[in-house]
Amino acid sequence: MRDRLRFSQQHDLGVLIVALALLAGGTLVHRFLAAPDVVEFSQEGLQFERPGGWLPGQVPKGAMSPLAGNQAGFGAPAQAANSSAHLHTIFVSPQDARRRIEVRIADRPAYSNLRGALAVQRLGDYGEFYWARHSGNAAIEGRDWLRTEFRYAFKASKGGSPQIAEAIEYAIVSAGRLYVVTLHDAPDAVGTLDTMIAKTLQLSTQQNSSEEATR
Amino acid sequence: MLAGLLVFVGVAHGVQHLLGLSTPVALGPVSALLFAGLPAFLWLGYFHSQDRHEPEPKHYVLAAFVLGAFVAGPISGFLIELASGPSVARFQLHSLALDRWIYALAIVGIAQEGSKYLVIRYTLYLSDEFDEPLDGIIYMSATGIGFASYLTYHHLIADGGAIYLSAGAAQAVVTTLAHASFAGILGYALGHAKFADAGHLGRATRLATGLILAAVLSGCFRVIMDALSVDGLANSPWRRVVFTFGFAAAVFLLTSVLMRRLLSISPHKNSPDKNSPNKNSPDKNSEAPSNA
Repeated sequence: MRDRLRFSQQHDLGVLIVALALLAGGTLVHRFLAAPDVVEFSQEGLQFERPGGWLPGQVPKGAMSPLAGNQAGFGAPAQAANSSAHLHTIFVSPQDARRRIEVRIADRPAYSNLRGALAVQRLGDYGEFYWARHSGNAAIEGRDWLRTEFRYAFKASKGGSPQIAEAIEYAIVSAGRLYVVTLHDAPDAVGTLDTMIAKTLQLSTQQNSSEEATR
Repeated sequence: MLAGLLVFVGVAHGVQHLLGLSTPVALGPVSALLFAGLPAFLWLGYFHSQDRHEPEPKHYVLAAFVLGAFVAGPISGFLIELASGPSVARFQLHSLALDRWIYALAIVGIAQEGSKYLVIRYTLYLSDEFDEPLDGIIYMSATGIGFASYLTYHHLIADGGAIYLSAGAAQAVVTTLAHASFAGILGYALGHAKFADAGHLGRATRLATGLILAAVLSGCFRVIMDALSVDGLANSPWRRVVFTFGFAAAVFLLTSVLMRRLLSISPHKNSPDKNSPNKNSPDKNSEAPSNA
């Protein structure tokens, strides 16, 4: 014990402990202060928590990126597949145009394969510059959501530089409607948004046993 | 040395005007290395030349520089990344919000100055060449210069190497001066702690005080870099240079005062000049200097 104390004194380990304590304390306080305010989204039976400091929800007027628009006519009215949409809105972070939460509530697709219907929708939204990475089921609050990770080329504006964006899409069919919540961000950052929001996804509609998410 | 720094900025300014460059210029890795390295070596020469009574061996000073650039720099980068947390929740919008101050002082300041302290305290501090209080400032400022070169290089590469030549050159000079000066303050505490007869607790108190003071200065510099130098949405690199230079110059003056003070009480003050032609004469060690 005495040897340990002597070692600690000789090497001034107390100074390192003070520095690490300040760093740890600063980290905790900073994270507490910088944590974004959270507000609740609640529409048509869908609820989740989202950052409150973001720009107000906007209705997309064309393709999700001018890059996709070059293929499908940027600035054109929303895709035909959206015509059945009850709600289509996007919340954008003021810090990065790639950081967005997209919510789409529409009539359930006539096409019985949900994975296929969503893939067709994404092709319309992102054109050729999109590729799916992984798709599988995710159980959240007792519901089975279809979770799909995909990447696409994104331009914030017509003259902007193309960037790679990653999105995580949660989709479910319930009470005759399709609910899709998509989280978009830079590939190395989208996980944070996913951790923050996915666990708060809730649906208050009655789900028929025949309406499986992965059908 | 100081004239060399002015020439460096002047040449960059001249090249920018001669070539009519009104937009940022892309620098490759080699030119970025030169941009970061030239002011570093000039400042290194300046600080080393201040050690008049018994200049430290050049390879030791170079080792301190290398430790700052290749060990302290990556360690601080790792600590800052670890402590910063997810980018979604990184900052409030106001440029002087409390969380930005906490980030700058307790995360950036402590990580940067702590890593500089770490690399010297457990290496050169233990060597026989660290034989007077002034050596703390000399070795720490060399570490700070190496550290600044690391920061400048990575800043240039991270931004795609695109800078306004004259403002970029001036900013490299100022950043190097600033980190050398912050580390110099910590070096003063290091030298004082090693040679003061104050016991373990007294020594640790001096070191911790020096570290916290250097971290506060480094944090304030960060806030000035990030917040005060921004003019609305406009990109004004010279505004940043002017603000940061003002702060760095004030800390540099303080470091210079401390250096002069330590020079005046140096134990080598009255020893024969090691740079004189007779420094290797057989009589050098035959008799103690006049205070014997």
